[in-house]
Amino acid sequence: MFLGVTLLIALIILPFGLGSYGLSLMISVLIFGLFAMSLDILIGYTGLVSFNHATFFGVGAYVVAILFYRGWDNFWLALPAAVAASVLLATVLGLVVLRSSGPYFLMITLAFGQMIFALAWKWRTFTGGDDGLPGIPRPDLGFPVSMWNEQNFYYLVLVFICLSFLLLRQLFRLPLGRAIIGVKESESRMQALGYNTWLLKYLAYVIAAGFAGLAGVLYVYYNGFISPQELNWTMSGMAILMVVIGGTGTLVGPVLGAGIILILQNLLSAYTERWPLVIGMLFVICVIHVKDGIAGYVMKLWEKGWKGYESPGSEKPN
Amino acid sequence: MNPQVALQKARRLVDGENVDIVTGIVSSTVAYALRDYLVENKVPVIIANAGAAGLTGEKGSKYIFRVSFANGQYEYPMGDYAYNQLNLRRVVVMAPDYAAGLEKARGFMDSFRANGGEIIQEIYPKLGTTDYGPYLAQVNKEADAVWVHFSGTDCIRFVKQYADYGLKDILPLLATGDLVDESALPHQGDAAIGIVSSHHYSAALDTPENRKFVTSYRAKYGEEPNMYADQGYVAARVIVEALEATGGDISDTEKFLSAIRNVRFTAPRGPFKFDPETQNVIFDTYIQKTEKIHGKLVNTVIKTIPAAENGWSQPK
Amino acid sequence: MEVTQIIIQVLNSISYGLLLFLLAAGLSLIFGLMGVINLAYGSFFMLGVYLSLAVIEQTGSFILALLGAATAVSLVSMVMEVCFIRKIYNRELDQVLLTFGFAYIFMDIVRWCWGGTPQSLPKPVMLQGSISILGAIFPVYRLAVIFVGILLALVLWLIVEKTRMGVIIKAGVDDKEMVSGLGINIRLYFTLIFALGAFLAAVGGVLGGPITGAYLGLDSEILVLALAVVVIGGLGTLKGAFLGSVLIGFMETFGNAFFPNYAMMTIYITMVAVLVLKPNGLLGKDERP
Repeated sequence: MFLGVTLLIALIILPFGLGSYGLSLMISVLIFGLFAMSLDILIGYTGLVSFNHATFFGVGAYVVAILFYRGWDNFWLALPAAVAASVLLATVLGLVVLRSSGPYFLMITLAFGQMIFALAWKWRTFTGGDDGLPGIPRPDLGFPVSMWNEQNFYYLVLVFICLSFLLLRQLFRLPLGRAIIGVKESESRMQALGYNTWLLKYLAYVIAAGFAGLAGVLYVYYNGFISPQELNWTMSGMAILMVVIGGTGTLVGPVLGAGIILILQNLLSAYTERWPLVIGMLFVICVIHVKDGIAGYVMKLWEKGWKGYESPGSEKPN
Repeated sequence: MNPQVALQKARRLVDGENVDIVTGIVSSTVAYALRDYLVENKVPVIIANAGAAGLTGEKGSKYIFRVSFANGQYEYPMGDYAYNQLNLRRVVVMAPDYAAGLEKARGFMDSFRANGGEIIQEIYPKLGTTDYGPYLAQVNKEADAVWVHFSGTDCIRFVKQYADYGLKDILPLLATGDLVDESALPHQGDAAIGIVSSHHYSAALDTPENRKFVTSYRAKYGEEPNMYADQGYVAARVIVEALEATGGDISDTEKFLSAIRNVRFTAPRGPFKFDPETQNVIFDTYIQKTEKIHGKLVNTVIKTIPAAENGWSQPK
Repeated sequence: MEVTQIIIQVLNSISYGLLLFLLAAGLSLIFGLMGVINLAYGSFFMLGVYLSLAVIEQTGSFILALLGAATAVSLVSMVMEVCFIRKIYNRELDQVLLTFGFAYIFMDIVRWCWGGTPQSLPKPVMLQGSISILGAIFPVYRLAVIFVGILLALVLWLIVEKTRMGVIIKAGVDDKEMVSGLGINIRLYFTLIFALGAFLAAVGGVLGGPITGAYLGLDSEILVLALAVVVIGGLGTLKGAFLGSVLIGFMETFGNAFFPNYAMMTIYITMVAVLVLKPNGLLGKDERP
């Protein structure tokens, strides 16, 4: 709890200590953080390694862009429409992909992801083809705070990511969320207990898609464009890395993971041409020496320090 | 490159390091993604490769210049040449299935058709196709020739497979200069001999400026310069010339933009200048033929089509 | 539609399918037996192409290049297995992260050593050129790929069906604990399987190189193809990998030839169709090993 509040305060005062480039990087980190957090619902809580999460991110972004191109330039209309589109797509895809499990699930989600990528690439009149849809302006929220100001946009993203975090944390404290976690731990046990595990996985898949769509909405408003590249499997792969490196099943970890990957990618590439080599080695070191991702590692350090002051019986930070 | 990564890097350059001019940009998708950000920040952009015609058309801006080419610009003259000089009437068109490939193919087809030629088949394989076998077997053998555009990793595979499937012996191959890029020629080998292509640069151009460029490029990098080398050189030269014209002063953006607009010099590729209206480059187009001279493959220029005779125009 | 066209497309399908088998057989072994997700598999293929390029430049011999590159790649993979993979059996997400890290490392090393310009691997001199089959012109090299593909499939089949190692492999796919319970050093076998998989990937790379060429990004393209083949066929079965390869070979060839508009999707449509009908692939077992 204390850790969380500290983190939140740090995030709130952060823009005052950052230059405009640092701020723009942080906005990207939070947007991708939300995207990775939504994937954590599947990887960390449901035990489903999905390889088409970028599809829902991209669909959310495309809906905003397409609406804008057709003259529907209203944030409060575009946001729910985009999230609804992602959710709707997931309700359809979920029916098919959840028949498979393990590596088969991974590959059938990949297949669907690439089919939708191809669709965005080919359907030029609607999606702009591989050139994408550029020129999407920042949203007008209807009150006198300009989203063209980077700081304001940062807070908008921060509000969304905090709300999403609280909602999801609450979800996994409810019986429904507990049951979903149960499926990850042992699907056969949950079945024996009379749960419809298929339905639980289906719900998780749909919920995760909705939050990914939300991240896509923020993404397209921030960057002002969307192209098929954002639907490609490389994007889904990157989200998986963010989740795993940050720590699965923690919601916060994936945001940290997004931060680490994006900041490294941008800083390293400015200093050395050999940055993929460095990132690759970091992944390897991470797997061998830092179990449970960065969030787990920080948590352990924190607990060690915490226990120095508190009685050993105190509740574990969540 | 991923456009989002490119935008992040542009932000670092502009917001973080206060650069005054941005140049480069290979992919049109990236160029479109960066466009609004750079224009809003009033940063002059010198595009050195991205070819989408719209970048100097409907999405043009006084901040955007292009020293490379617009898709269709050097493809268009080939339509005339194929019909009038090579006397071809029925042609099969092949290009990768993405915006640039389609736009380039359209450039050739528009002028070939305007002359009265007929396109009897259009084949658009996916970008980065490993195996052209299935497509090549479908080519209509009743054609007079095949026109293609492929670039990068595609062009070595395509040229070799075109020969492997026996098409080289029955259907002459017309192409964009990208297909026989100087860096690909040594890998394509004899399969590339006889290809007729149109381009805005050839390392084999016999002008004093190009001879000097080729010699110093070889000395420095140990390989032949190609279109990208020329485009990079021209982009840098444009910036230098514009800075010299303003005495190194870029504080007055309007003045600097107008200095860029008025840059003229003789580049390795030939006379260089901008179209003052669109700020897209104007160049002479070379019809070249790939030949083996002294054991080495080169793109010999067989005809120069001056800019004034190029019927291509910026789509509005 | 002419007969010659059909002949060529059928030959195309078979040669492409067998090329796919060459590059997917190793992944099928690693994935199926060890349960290890190896995202660096495409990198083994790519390393194979580039290393053989280096050997050919030095010696001019295609056979030496084939043996040299495949041996070097399997040695690299053994080190990787003993030092890293071994520590994370049964930790799938860490396998993803680790092997992805290696894919990054290998990709950058290749970029470092060979640069970003695409290269081509020359065909062996005696396999250059084309021949006419009933009036249809077809490259000799692809006929050779068909021949080698069938040969290799046979050899692998013999290893799996007729040797002690094969018996252990098959038993291992069914029940890992039972095999180690019999006192067999399963770890050693795992290392050998991993190296064999890498060996096959590199062989696939050298044989496929004259068709695919050598360029950055080859690794991920091959990885996706190989994963598709293995999953369509079903994990842990060479027969499945063979069936999957040939199926994709035909689907891609005929799909691209007659429905080029859907070329970006054919392989994925095939994958979805198979997995919808058979959620565990064509010959996959119901439960994972």
